[in-house]
This record gives sequence, structure tokens and C-alpha cells, in this order.
Amino acid sequence: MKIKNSTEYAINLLPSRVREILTQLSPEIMNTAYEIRLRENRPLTLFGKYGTVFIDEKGICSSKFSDSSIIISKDEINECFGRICEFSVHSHQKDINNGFVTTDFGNRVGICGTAVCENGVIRSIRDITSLNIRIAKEFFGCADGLINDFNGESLIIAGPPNSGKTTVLRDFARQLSNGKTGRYIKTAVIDERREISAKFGGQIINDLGITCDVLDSYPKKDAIDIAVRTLSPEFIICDEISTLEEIESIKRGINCGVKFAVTVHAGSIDEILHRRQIEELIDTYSFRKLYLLDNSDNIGRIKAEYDIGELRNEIYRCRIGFDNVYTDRAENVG
Amino acid sequence: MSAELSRRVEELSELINFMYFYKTHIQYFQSSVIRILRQYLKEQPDTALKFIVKCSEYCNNYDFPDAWARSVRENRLISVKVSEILLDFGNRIGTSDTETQLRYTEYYIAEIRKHMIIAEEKERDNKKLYIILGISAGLLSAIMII
Repeated sequence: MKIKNSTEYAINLLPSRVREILTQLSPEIMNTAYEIRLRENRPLTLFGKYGTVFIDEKGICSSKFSDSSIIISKDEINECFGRICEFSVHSHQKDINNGFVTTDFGNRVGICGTAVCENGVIRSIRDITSLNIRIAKEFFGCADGLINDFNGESLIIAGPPNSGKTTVLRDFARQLSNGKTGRYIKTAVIDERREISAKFGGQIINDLGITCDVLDSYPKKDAIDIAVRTLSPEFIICDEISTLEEIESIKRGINCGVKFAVTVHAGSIDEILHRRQIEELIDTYSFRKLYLLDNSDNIGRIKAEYDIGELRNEIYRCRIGFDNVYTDRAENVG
Repeated sequence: MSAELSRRVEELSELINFMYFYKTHIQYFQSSVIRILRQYLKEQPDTALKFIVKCSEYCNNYDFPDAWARSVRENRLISVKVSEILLDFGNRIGTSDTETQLRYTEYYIAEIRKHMIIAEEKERDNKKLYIILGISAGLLSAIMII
């Protein structure tokens, strides 16, 4: 079978019995699915545009669980896990310990099982019980809102899980490096989890534009320093900033004159105001705007945008005990 | 018989080389097993290990453990004992972290080396036997002529 896209690749990872059933499903269901979830001795579920969907042995979809729904066995979980790791656990050990493996085509598979710890550090995962295959999607033009508003300054994209942060960031990178802002901007994409570029057979398959360099699998904190030292980027694209070490690297980059577009997890203005990482980014005085995405069907829909200067004042107000003024007036600009 | 033994020694020696190649690629590149096989075939296109060529082909249609087992079983040139070692190796490769993989590989290299030493001894003995046979036949024909 010649694999053409991330959905087909995701189906190909599944246990043989499930794979046969899913290939018979209508493209409408499969192409709008974001996640395929396998849980030991529990029903197979698809999650997407139609919410949670159960599938029975005959390939009939239903929003309700029934006795005929496909139940996933332990052997099938192991079969799927083997394929996800390309039968090479050693190649993905660090990722597995972090709870995920990124497959070819940029699909991210969340892994759940029993952690084997040594001195408080996860050494490996055994007895895998759940797998969550998140199907990577490419939406051309989903970052148009950001590009139209772009003034050459650094920006933060925030959103809850499944709001399309990575998808928007990918399109933003493509448009920057393709000159959609009026000139070709030298862009470096830091793709630690290999979700932005998505590779197949060692080659980048997602279109990231013509003046874009990709550092994939590098730890973000190192990759930013390497990019600044060796690639002379004008813009660095970085997904899911989470540690203070990464923010330190961003600060070093900012001090070298590089601009950043980063994403962070936060579902509301309250979460934004109380996240230490965002506070640290704001304190660099380099970022000008924060865009909050929502997790509706419309990928890249901007729920609200905030001026960083105002957010900074708000954070100071929170610090000294005032209520924040944003809670009730999240502007809907999507 | 002698040619057969030479071929076996050559094959076992290449098998050990392949295992060192596998070990290096796990240690330094953490490559997947299929990628290692393909890289090996790229670097050694005339390999004597035909089952690796077959395994690489089977990987297009089967999962790696199946592809490995099929190709080893189909290869009748490998002795039964070495086949068993290879099947066992196939069940272990790619199933654990790098450190454990390196230890497994070392173990299987040592196992195959034992078979290679035996094969080399047999080859030497056979060579001696042929020399002795040749000399004896020469002497016998000389005596008969006289």
C-alpha cells in the first residue's frame, strides 16, 4: 500500500483487524478525525468533527457505545505499539519515557502504561494500556489572521489542547518564509517533536516555505542557540514552550536580535495570567501580541488577541492582589 | 565439501560484521532496525547474507519480526544451529533500550563466533586431509609406476 497522507499512515499503524475495518469507513469520517484512541479491553474510538465515535465490527459508526463496538485486546495494543516504534524501541526510548512517539507524517502518538522509575527518573514504560494517535493535519491559510496583523515583532500563540497551535504555527512559518509579508524572512523552525515539519523516510513532507531551515529532534534550548549561532535567522518558530531553560535560550536569541513566534498551553486569560512561562516571555519586552486560539472546529480561529504591554500591567495587578480586568471581556475577534 | 566449509566461514564472518554494523548504528545513530538493514545493503550490495536482502524486501509487506523470521527460515544455506540463533536474535532486536540492545548484540556475536571457530577448525582439518590425500595419491601412483 502506497501511503499518501498522515491519515493513511495512522491507519497503517493499527492492528490488522482494525485497519481492515477503518479502511472501509467513509472518507468523511476518517478525514475529519483528529484522534484514533486504543485502550486495552475498551472500545476503539475516533475523535473529530463528529465528537467521539465508536465503530462496530461491520464498520458502522455510532456516537453511542454498543456491544458490537470493536474492543481492543492487549495483543493488538502491543502490535500497534511495535509499528509505532518501527519495531525499534531503542530509537524512541527518550520519547517513550516522555509519553509520546512522533511517527512519520508528523502523527503524535500518546502512550500510557506503567512507568519503570529509577531514582525518580522514568527509565522505560511497560504494560502499555492506551495509545492515542493524533493525526497531523496541514491547513493552508489557517494563519492568515496572524499574517494580516503581522508587524515584524515577536508573538505568542496560546490555546488549549486540540486548538491547532502547531497547525497555525506551521502555516505561519510557511507564509513568513514564502514572503507573504512582503519579503522573504529567513526562518528557523525548532521542531523538537518532529510535528511541524513531519518526515517520511527521512525527508520533510510538510511545506514550510522556501527560506526555512528545520532543526528537528534537537532539544529546544540547544536548538535555539545553534540556530542563532549558525543559521542567522530573522525569525525562530518554536512549538510548546514549557521549561524555564527554553525561555532562557529565547532570551539569549532575543538579545541577538532574533524575533520569535512561540506557542504555549493556556485555555483562557486566567490561565495566561497565571502561567510562569508566559510571564517570563512577557518580561523579555520583545513580544508585542498574544493570540488565544479556541478549540472549535475552525482550525486557527483566534478567540482573542492581547497587547503584551496591557497583559504585563495585568500580571503586575494580579501580583499585588487586584482582580484581573480581562476575565469578563475576552474580545472575540475570530 | 571444502568449498562449502569456506563459504560457511565467510558467511559467519560476514554475519559478525553485520552485527557490529547493527551495534554501531544503534549506539551512535539510534536508527530503526529496518533503516539499519537498508543501510547495510546499500554499503554491502554484494553481501553473502542473502537472508538480509530477503528480509529487507519482506519488510515492505510484513512487520519486521515476521519478515526476519520468514527470511531466516527460507535460507537453507545457514546451519540449523545458526538459524536458531538468528531467530532468537530477531525476537530480541528492537524490543528494548539502547543499552540492552548492545548487550544482546554482544551476546549473539559471541555465540556466532563460537560457530565460526568450529567451522574454521573443520575447514583447516579438511584442508589438511586434502593435502594428505593428495600426497598419498601421488606416492601411490609413483609406486605403481615404479
